[in-house]
Amino acid sequence: MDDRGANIDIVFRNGLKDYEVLPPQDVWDNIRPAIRKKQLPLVIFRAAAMIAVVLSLSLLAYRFSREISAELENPVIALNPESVTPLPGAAAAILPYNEVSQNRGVFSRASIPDDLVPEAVKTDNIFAAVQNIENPPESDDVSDKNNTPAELTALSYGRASYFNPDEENSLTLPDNTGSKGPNRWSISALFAPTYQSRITSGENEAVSRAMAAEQNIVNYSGGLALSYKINRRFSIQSGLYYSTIGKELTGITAYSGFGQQNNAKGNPVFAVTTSNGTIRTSNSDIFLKDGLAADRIQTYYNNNVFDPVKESLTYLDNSVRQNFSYLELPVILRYKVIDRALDFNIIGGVSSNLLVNNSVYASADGSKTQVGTTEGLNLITFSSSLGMGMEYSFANNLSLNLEPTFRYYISPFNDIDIPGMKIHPYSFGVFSGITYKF
Amino acid sequence: MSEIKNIISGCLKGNRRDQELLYRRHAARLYAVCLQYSGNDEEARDILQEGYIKIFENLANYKHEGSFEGWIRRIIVNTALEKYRSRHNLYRVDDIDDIPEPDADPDNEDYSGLEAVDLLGIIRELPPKYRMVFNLFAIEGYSHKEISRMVNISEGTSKSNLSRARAILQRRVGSYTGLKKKLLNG
Repeated sequence: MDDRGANIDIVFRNGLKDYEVLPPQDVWDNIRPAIRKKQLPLVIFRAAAMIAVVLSLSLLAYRFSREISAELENPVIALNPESVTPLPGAAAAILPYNEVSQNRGVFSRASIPDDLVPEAVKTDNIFAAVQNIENPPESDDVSDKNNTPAELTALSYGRASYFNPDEENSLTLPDNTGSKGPNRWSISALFAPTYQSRITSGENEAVSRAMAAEQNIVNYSGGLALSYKINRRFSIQSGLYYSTIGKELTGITAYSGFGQQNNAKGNPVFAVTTSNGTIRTSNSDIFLKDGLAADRIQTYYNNNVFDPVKESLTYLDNSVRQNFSYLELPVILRYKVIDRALDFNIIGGVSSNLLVNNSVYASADGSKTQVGTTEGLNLITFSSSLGMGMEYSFANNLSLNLEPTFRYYISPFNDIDIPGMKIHPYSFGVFSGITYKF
Repeated sequence: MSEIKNIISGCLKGNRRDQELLYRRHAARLYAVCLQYSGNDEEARDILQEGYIKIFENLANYKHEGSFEGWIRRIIVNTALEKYRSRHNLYRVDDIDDIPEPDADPDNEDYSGLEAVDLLGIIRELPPKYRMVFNLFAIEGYSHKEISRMVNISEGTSKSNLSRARAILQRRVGSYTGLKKKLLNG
């Protein structure tokens, strides 16, 4: 029976060896959410971690700036008792009204401990003088020394300074106007990994199907920026940036070695629909196949005509990458919100972007194989940007920058009109770099 | 990097397209295996669905040693086995006396007219216990010792179940080929 049985075993084993039956579509429809459900916590965790990092950095920066601010609002005044004489009645101000009123705590009688104030000074004259300071003279000429009592000019303002009448004949204030010295120009080197995506409206079946198979990849942007400080708050910036924008087209399998089979002799034989335009192959040695059956590839060499595996073509990759590079010329306005050791700026502007590279390639074992180009791309596009800049001065003329920036493309990469659908690309990047002021 | 490595790598990163690509590449072959282990289409669909979820869950454990097709097939077979064990008490096992001996000598039978779809239909008509042992022994190549552990039966029971499965198959194949010949010859 065993020998006879072995025969029937072979019949079934060989007969069913390569047998295939297409499963119903609903099987994958049920598998997909089950896999995504399991992956969801990781996605949420990553997003939460990113938000936590951004919030923590913002909070730290805010606290740091508040601490610096608090120190400046509570300085210590030390007086040289012997050199201070009572003021002759109400005196006029030598201080700009705005500056004094901002720092009125400095001159408050109550803010100076009694043991530090000499009897002569304990008269209310000096404080009366300061009170008068708070009521500014009609004249805007705040440096009018005719109205300046010499004694009051002795008051020095700062964290810990001592009055010496021989050294100073006028009140010296730290420059709190934001113009730290004459350095109005600055040059910055900035770099950012950027994440590109898009906002879509409407529906186009073919493009939507293509978009579903497109993955965002991390791109880069960087360059030199030249900035000019117009006044304490505003500065204008321009420069030259180089940036890359790209997508990964998943499921498009690339094979090499097609040149010997290809009868088209160098003409583009594959056209691939993407959300950024149609890719035309220029490398006649490359064969493309849509592994997702998403009908993205138009070619004579479809699955019924040519099988790359049977023809022993060399597999390269199961996705191709679409890459554009731009030279950017931005015009950016910066508004300084907080002017401390750690500055905060709001940044906004527009850029004109010149297309300098348009390539589609497949990667295999670390090397790139050119596949073709995306047709119909605009040579120049325009984008707007909005961001927040943090600047930390760590030396006299040097500072570190961190600038989370959102960029919205006013004009699309491609002028081709997609029926029923509008695509608006945008990107987000965190620029970091160093600035030199001169 | 090979194509399958790329796809697996994409799946591990949560790339939806690679997951779908992995599914579509092997689904038809694995669904045929599921049909082979099940008595009805609904059960086969359940096995395929649960099996694929396990494949995606365990993809990180695949060491790229040996055939990937073999690895995923083993997961599907194990899933079928688990389903069988969970329903084991529901199945009625025909008594050996109910199984008639084959009419003809199987060595002299001509099976050339049988197609895969016919064989699949015949194997699916087996009682579940015989079908499971026959599949594990004749198709997957497990020994009776291994089958006894997998199905939780004795080696002797595994052998007798295989013997009964073969007897049924030979009889049905014989009658099937005879019927087919009759139909062909008018």
